[in-house]
Amino acid sequence: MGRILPFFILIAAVGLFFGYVQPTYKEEIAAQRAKIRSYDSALAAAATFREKREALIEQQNAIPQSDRTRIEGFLPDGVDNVQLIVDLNALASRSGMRLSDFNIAEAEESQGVEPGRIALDAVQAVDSLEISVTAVGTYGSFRTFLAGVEHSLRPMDLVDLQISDSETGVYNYAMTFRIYWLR
Amino acid sequence: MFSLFMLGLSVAGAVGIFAYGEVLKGVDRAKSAELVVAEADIDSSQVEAFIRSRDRFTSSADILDRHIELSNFFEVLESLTLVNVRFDSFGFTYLPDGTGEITLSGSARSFNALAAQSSAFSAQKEIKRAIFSGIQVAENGTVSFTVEATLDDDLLVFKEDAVAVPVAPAPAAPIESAAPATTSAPSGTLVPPSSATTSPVTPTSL
Repeated sequence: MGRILPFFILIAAVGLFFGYVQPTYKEEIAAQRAKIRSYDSALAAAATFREKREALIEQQNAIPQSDRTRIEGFLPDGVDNVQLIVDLNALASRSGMRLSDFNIAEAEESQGVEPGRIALDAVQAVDSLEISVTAVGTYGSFRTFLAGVEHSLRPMDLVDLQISDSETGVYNYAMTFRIYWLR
Repeated sequence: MFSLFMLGLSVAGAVGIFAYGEVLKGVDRAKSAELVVAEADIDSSQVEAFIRSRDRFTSSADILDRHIELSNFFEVLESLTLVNVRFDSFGFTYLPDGTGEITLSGSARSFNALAAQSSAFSAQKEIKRAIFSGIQVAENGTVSFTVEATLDDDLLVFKEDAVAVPVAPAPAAPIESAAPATTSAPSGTLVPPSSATTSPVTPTSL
């Protein structure tokens, strides 16, 4: 018995090591540590986010409210083409032009791919619409109107223009403007 | 003795592992709670607002970079058009590659005037591939024509600090002794700016 007991004790020691200590260390403990590492990583990302957010808030507050309003007018959240037509009409009146026959056509979806259109990173953030309109007026009035359109707060790209002569000095204009808004 | 030592070592290891596991569980719970607080601190609407702001700024810059300003072209056209040439129709189409395509039809008082006008267009580097076609001579000697050309985007794209596009000097218009070929300009037609290449005698239509 005295000779067998140490052998059993040794078996128990080996059994305890390989039955509990080693599997617990290699599985549970390792899994727990991996989980904690992922938490650390997420917490580090959260800290980076907080720093970035504070910096962005600071940058945003540095932009005057009037400028923010202007950039929202430059690229609005919606198409609001009716207001645009009203504004175009007012500009035309001031310039001595008379507008008529407004038509709307949505631009193709491939806008971001073509060089003449808007190219953005991964997501196409801008949508566009084409408004065609006919007008009559003198050349001088047209130039005034065109300059007004080109320098308006909301960008309108004149993508198509047809001018036909008349004997009266009043020309006929068929114009297509492309307008943009943030999706 | 050795057996007892090994057993003691195993028991100590087991106790240590158990204790370490409990410590890790505590750390896990603490960090999990910290993460919940961090997640709660994230305002998704604020993040969305930031993303929209970024999109608005980058897209606006992109739109502005490609904003079409056709007035640049009209200024050049006014300077290039000879006094004895008139245009009676104009077509412009903005192409997807960023260039513009124009079609003009008009008449010149003579072939010489038409040739001079062609040279004027050719000398303007922003007006490319100007092709005169449909040339017909009327009974009164005037020459009607159509010109098609491509406009370089330098001539079309809006520039914040726009500098006037340099206009190539147009060749001197051939001297015409007869009455002006173009009819007197109707009200509203442009009068070319006075320059060495054009005479203020006959206004140019369009």
